[in-house]
Amino acid sequence: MLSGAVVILFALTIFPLLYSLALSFHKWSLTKPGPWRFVGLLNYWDILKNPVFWRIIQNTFVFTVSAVTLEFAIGLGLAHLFYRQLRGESVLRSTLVLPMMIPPILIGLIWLFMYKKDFGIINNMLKLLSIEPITWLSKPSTAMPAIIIADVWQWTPFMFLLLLAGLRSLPVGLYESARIDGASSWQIFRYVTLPLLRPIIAIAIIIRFMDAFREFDKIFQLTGGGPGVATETISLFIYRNGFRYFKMGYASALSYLALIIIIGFSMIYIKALRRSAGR
Amino acid sequence: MKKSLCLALAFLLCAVCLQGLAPGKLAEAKELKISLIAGFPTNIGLKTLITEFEKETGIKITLIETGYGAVLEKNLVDLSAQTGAYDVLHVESLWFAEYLPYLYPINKFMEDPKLFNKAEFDLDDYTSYTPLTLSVFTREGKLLGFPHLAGIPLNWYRKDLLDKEGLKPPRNVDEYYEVAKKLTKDLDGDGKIDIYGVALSASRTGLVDEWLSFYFAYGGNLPERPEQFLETTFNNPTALKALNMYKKLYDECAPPESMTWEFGEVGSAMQRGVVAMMWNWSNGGSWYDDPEASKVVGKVRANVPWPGRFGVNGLCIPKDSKNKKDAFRFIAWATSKDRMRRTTLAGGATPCRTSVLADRDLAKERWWFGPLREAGRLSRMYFEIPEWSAIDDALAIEFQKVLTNELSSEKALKNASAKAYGILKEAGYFD
Repeated sequence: MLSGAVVILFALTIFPLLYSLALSFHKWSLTKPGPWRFVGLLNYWDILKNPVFWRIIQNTFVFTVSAVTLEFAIGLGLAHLFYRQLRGESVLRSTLVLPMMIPPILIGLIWLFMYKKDFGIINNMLKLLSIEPITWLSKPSTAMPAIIIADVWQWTPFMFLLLLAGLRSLPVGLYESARIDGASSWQIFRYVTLPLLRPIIAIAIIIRFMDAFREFDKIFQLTGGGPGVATETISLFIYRNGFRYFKMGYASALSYLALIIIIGFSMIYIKALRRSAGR
Repeated sequence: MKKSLCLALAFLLCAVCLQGLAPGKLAEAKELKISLIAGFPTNIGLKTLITEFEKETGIKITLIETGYGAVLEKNLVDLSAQTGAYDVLHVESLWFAEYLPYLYPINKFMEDPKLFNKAEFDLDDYTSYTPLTLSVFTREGKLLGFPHLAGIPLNWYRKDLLDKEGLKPPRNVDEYYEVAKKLTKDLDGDGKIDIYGVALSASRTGLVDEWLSFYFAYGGNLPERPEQFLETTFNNPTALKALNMYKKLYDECAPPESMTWEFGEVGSAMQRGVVAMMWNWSNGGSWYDDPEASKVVGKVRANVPWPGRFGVNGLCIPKDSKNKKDAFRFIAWATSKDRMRRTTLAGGATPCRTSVLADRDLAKERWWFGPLREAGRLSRMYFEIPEWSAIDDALAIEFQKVLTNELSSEKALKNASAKAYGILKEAGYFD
């Protein structure tokens, strides 16, 4: 039984990881079939000295940090709102989590139409407010915010659900004691709720960070990475090198660099959390 | 006992003979799997005729349609793993070099009179349109597929709007700009443009095709072979003139959303009546007269002011197909004169045989066949190398930066040309 599980684990997880790791040290193209050519760390070196890669990393962090921060802030606000049982809560909660259940590629399509200049609902609403329609996806200054908004719409419910569950699991007695001691609402939130919620917050942020860092579908659908490379993130860059230029070794090396960044960031974040919890 | 044995043997013999006479006598395969690029009007025509092939041969046809944006990567992954997933591939000429290592030459089958009737098939019917039709699919004297459609960009214009302003269809890029400028209008006087002079395919996957057509129109050229490419090939005064004109059109005469548009969106803008002209692929020819989808029925016409890319598509056989002979039977059947005419009749917009393009009955309804024949004569191809996708993308990234005012045209061309040179160098073309 155990050996069966090990075989499945090896076949589905470890083998593809090792295969792509080996490929990252080779040059191999799908359009030039033949044996892999060993190049050592050359793919990694080529990536690191490519200025476009650093621009892509910058875009990825701008997208990830902005989206996750907004999702966390709005999700926490909503969780607080729902903390005390509201009338019709189950209907409201179900409605709120709907975006999370829609396939990401469809989310991209929905927002693509919403951002249309001629007939998009967003520009129509702006017109009602006497604001000039915006060509959201055609300018570098608005394309990235447009993608972040779509992501926040889709994934805030995830933060909300997790944080609401966390809030409701906190001991009520502590709040009562704080109130008896004369603490204000802000003080209760700052010195009681936040410290107690810290483990849940850490999990929610790490899960969303890893997910947002790998975002592909919505960006592919909305801008394809453009204008120029203004909205191109690491997943799109890997896709472009792997499946448009068919540089499989280079794309594998890029994937490993992305993995290293995600692991590195998560470790730093967890360490920082532990340090602040210890204080 | 003996009698019943004899009867059984006679019955068996009859069954074998009848089997021989039944459909599918020549066929060895039970099923052929055909990979098609989704969205081509020709597919609609092909689907209506497939039952005829199934009846004639007894082979079941399974069509697998994949979107333009995903078909190449999906098919190459399957081909490299030699899964034998497909018996026939729909190959766009722009990707022919990527597919090349996986394709099977069909010359051997063409020599077999049981499989192929040369006179009836008439290869000259292709080459009399343009020699490119067959040469695109030929390597070292071997033919690797039969062409089944060919899209070429044309200048589509709103005849009613041009007539109203007393304008003639443009004959070159400068006139294109002048006409576009005059037709970009605020019709209701609210300070906003209601109709734009042109729609551009300025997305990352559409921009370079359009810019290159301006470049060719101004007299620019690509070297014959990639080995002759220089760091200055795209960094010269003609390329600069073409890029500056592109930017001028984008800034002054095109909807700003053009930045995310390509073939489909540009065609849709024409259907909605928000643009007066567009340099767009002929594949969408039937869209503008479709009363269910178009607001401009009967108002659109086309001309050929400069050369465009010859986007010929073929049906090819992959090396890993287990049914190559029957796959050949299918591609020869699907691309024959009669079938191409009938697929066109049933919805196809861009045949690539002279006999079909010159068919009077067809050309009466499909008025763009005239310009299409002229466009075929002028059309060109780029380097047919697997690295072209990377070069195209590198150019598009730089040119989009010009449109968003992040870079000057000069700097963008310098970067683009150097990047293209770097891609070719890395691929070993200068070794």
